[in-house]
Amino acid sequence: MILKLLALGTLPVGLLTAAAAVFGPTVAVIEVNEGGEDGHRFVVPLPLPVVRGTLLVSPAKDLLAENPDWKRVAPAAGRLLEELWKAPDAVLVRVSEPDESVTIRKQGGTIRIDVTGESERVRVRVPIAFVEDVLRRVGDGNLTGRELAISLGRLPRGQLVEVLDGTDHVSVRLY
Amino acid sequence: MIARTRFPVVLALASCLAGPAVAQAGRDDPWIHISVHERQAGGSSVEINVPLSVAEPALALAPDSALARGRVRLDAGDVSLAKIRRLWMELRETGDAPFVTARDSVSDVTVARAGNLLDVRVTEMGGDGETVRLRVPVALVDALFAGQEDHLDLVAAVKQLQTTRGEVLTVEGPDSHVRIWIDEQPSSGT
Repeated sequence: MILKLLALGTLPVGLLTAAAAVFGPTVAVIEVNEGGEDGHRFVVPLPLPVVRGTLLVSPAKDLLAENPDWKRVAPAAGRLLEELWKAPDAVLVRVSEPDESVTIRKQGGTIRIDVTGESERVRVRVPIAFVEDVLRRVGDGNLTGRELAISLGRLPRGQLVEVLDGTDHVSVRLY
Repeated sequence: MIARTRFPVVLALASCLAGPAVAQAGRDDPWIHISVHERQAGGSSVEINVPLSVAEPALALAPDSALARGRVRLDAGDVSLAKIRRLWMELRETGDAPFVTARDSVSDVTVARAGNLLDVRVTEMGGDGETVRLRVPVALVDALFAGQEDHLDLVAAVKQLQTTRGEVLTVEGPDSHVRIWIDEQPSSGT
């Protein structure tokens, strides 16, 4: 009896986990912290299913109709990312200057860009699978809201962007 | 008994999980490394390490005005690229020897073949006596000249680089040191 109850209890958790795995992150949290004594703090949670749902029902209009150059470069850019995805983790670019440094590294399925200055720091994580998926859809034809909604499901959880400028702090994180 | 029956399942699961990782770790694809270092203390430095397999799609990203189908048009001034190509075809058959030695009040230029390398040395006369030295594999120059008329074939050069290992280009200047090389290591190790 206890085992049955336990099994029934774990079922919703399993289903939720499976759904999260299939549909990707569910919330994007944008957080802005202004430094200083009078600094403000904003936290904006963005429910991704709503964003994706809106995109799914949006008119089937090509989002890049006015940017034909994107369609020209998309297949090659997609192949480039595919090769990068297959490559082992490595530091791809490192620029060191007396007052600034830039590092671009491939780590797992992401490209991490790290810019460090005297008083600022920018960290960006670019999910390769997501960008590759978008580029493939662009290369295959039109990028509509529906196609973009499907691609959004390939975003990984975790921090996407972090900007530290003096005492100000901005971050975008997916949950 | 239970352990014995579970073992194949665990093994299959482990194989599925480890397979892609092993396949990636075992890749011996060539990586191209570019390193630029300023010589003065606290000088800037740039290090680039990319799998060579990304070079060809990267060429396709260049705008058509700069690079048409992997071929770049070279404006060589008074001397046409076709003439330089013909000259190269004749000179490359000679053994290890200086092809060109030119000296005037401004610079001293030597172009020579040293084994499989084309060795170019330019020394500035006067001033700080800057010396620039380029060492480029002969096969790479051949591939570049595979283009027609006034075009250099960058796609052919990239294909040639796939089989090249070691130094591709070095430039020794008084202020900076530039090095391009290919190996199978993802990190430059500099």
